[in-house]
Amino acid sequence: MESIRSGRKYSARNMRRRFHIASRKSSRFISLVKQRLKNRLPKSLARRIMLLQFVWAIAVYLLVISALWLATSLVIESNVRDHGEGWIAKLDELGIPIYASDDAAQLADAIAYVHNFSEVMHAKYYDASGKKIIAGYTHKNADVSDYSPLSEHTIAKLKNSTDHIKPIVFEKGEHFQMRISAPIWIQSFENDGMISFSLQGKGGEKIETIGFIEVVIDYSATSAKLYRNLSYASLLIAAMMIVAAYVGRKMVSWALSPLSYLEQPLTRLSKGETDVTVQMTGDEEVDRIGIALNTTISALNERDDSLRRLANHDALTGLLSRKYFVDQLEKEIVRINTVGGTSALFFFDLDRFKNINDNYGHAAGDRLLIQIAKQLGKRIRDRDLVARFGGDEFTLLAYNVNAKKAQDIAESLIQLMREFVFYESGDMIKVYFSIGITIIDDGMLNSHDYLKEADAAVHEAKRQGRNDFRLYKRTFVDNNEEKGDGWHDRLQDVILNDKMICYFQTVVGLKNQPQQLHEVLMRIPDLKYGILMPGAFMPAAERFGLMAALDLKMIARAAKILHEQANDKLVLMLNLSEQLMAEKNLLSFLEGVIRDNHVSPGQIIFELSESYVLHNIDRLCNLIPDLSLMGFRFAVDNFAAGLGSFNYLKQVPVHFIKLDSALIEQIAGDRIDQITVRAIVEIAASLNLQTIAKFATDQESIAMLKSLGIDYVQGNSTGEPLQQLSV
Amino acid sequence: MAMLGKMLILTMSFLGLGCVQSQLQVSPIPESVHQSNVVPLPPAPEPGATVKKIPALQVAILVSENLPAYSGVANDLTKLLGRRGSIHYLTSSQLENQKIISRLSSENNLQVVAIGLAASVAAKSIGNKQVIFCQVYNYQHSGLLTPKRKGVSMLPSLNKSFTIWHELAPDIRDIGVIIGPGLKEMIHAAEDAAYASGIKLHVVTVNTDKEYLYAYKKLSKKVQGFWLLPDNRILSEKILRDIMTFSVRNSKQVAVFSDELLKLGGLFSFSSDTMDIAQQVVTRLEQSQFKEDVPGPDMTYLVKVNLRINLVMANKLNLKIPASYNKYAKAP
Repeated sequence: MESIRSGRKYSARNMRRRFHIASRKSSRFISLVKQRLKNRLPKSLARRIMLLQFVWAIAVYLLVISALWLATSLVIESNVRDHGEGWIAKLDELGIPIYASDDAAQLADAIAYVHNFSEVMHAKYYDASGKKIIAGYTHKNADVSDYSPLSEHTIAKLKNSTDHIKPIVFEKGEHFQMRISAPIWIQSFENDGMISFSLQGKGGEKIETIGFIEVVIDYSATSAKLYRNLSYASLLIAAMMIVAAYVGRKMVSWALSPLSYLEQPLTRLSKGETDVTVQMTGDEEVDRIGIALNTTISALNERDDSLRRLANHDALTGLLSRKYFVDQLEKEIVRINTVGGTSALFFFDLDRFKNINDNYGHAAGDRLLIQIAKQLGKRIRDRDLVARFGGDEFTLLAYNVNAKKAQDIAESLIQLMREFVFYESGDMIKVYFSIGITIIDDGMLNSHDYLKEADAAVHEAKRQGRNDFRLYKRTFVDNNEEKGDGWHDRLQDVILNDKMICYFQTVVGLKNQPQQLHEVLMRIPDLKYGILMPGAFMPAAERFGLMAALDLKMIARAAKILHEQANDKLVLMLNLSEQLMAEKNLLSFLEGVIRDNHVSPGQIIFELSESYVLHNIDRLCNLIPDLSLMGFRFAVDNFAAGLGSFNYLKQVPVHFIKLDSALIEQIAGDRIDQITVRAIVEIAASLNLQTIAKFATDQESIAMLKSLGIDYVQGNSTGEPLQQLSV
Repeated sequence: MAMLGKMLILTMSFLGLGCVQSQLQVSPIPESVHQSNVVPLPPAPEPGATVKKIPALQVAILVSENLPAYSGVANDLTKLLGRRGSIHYLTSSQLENQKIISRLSSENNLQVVAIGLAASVAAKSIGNKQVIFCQVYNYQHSGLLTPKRKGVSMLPSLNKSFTIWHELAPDIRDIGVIIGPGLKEMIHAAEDAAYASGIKLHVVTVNTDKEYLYAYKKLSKKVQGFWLLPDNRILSEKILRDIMTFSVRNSKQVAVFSDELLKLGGLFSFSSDTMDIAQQVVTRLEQSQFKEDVPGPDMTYLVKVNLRINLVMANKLNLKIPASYNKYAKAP
């Protein structure tokens, strides 16, 4: 029993598994058919509708024709049956003499009547047993051998009557023939049936079968005629459907024609053109699509504008973006190359912007950038382009200006910034920028080249003391020109072969000091330009970590110079880089240099930028006293550039402070600067510090500085950097 | 007093007042004798004649079934016979019927009236009793006639029928009649009656309804009208419809035995009157009293006829209905 049960379970599982497999196969097949059908479907709405219409028409045609043929067959058969029933009734009547009078002549008359109808193949009268043929007729040439005499079954059926309905048996033969047989009845009312005679009386009659009739009807002629007509009708319907299909195609094309109005705007839209408007055709559906498309196009335009604004403008300042500016610069280069003329590219770099960020935070830095952008925007012409190039760098493209005009613009902008004061956290901050200018006059250069030139120029301006502009003279070397290993090798060569070139700028004492101060400025030789300015190579040196080595070489060179000069009044000022200050063996090196060159450390003053001092107080508060003990002296460069506190001077015991050029440049006419300088001088004096003013531009300024108590002045007006040390 | 009432009823019956309005009461026409075995009865009592007192012989009225044509006659008989008459209906139960027959057989001084074929056949089992049957068409076919068993025809007065026909259709000369086998006496009487009205009857005897139709169509070439007789053996509803349709199409005048057939195109219907039958039966009972056999002919004929004229067919056949017959003419 258990085995039977398990066998049934196995069988059921097997059936389910087979069913699942069959289902999967069939669904895979359906999917395949669908996929193939989908692949073969035309990629056109009109053609698809046409295909659908065609398939539908074929289906309808086949259905109609099938229905017609079926209906015709049924009608023919029904007609033959009706016709056969008529013949049975007629033969029943014609055959009365056979059963009534045994009158052979009467039968001959009846048969003669049948002769006229070719569809009657034969007619037979049987006796009451159904076995004996009493009379019969066969049409000439008729082959009715297929029909056997009435069978017992047929006779039984013919004798079996219900509700006084005469049974008729139809037997369909071959070649469109049908045998119809029926009983011959005599009927009479029941006994006494006439006493209460009524036409509505039912069942009051006796029926007696006295014989049978059999007739074979040949309806081939009728069928052939009907089928021939049906064939003509089929052809006519096919022709009508072809005409309908053609008309339908035209109608579909006509109905879908408004869609073609969408083609041109959609094509343009697909090509990225957004200045497209879909015209309304008056067709409700197409107009809806048109409205939707127009709405979409409007949205796309708005988004494009927004993206364009975002892409072309700086998010913070609202000035043009770097990319957009470069694109316009390229266009201008092409224009100049084509039509000639000159334009100017300005590169602005905020001086000591890092200090603002460090001291007041980046939000203050951002606010400053915004205000700078507004200042620039005020001064330029409408057609000129100003961009924020990155960080604290701005660029200006001034159209149709020559070098002279460009310098005027630069001067104007420098002046603008001199008048500009940035207020932050209750402080008044003077902000300047350095400007590099290059003239666009060579179509062979690209935007990258010009930007490098302007950048080189701005670096030169910065190197020359900031808050100034420089026009690129093609003698500058772009510090970005060689960013790879080329610079490294060159600088290594400079260091190893001691190829640095020293330039000396006199720092003039205003109080008849006996010491002769000179700032030592480093240059390196260049085959193309002769000499490279620090702005050209220092970024690379810093990037490759070679600044410390360069500084050491410069210190060694300075010590050697001091040794060679053997002038104890000569004092050299050297800029120390952050990388050098980070050297652990700086002290021992300096001791060695002094010892080796037999010079007094007091003849060397090291300059450290104020920003560096502020950020490295902890380190410097130990290092500087140690070096000071050795006899070295220190100066804070760019002092008051960020209006920093004097407090750090208590911790870092320097000996000089070099006032930032921003305080000095306008000193002759700027009362505030004068007061500030005086205050600094007084504070410095109280701290036993000497003061140096950079960028004293003229004698009036020098006189003012002298009156304010400044100890030394430095600038091109008192002496440009020279390769020769003038003692 | 009761006797006086009965006499009054009988008197009124003889006066014809018992007939319905549509019945035509025509004075009896002398029956001519035409090579027939049917011996005419003495004339019915004249209206107003004194009715003889009915002897006190009981009459059992055996009725085939409760049909108007039967029960009407039975009721009229009881009116005429008074307490003498007793009605006995046959039922569908053979046992019950046997009991009735046995009881009647055992009674003495009893005359029997059998109404309808079934009652007449059943009455054959009642031994040695005088039996008068009526409302039976094929009396010969069932072997009803014996010296003690005789009948009253179910057909209305033949003379009056043909007289009326001739009056309504003066041009009528040949009338076809199709009958089943075994009705020679009745046909002879009919031929005589027709002849008296100047009409020749063309009689064809058939065995089946098929032959009827065949004969009818064949006969139609010779005659202007047909007289349909209610022979159940050769008639079927289909044949009736066929011949009526044929007659209408061929403008044949057809006298039918039922008002129903007027709807199919019959020109007029001749039907019998139940009181007429009852009177003829009572007459035969009276004549048979205290005699061994039933005297007189095998069948006696009625003297009255109920007439209805199909006005539509009359118009179609262009027959001008005399004013005296207008009251019988109406659309079926």
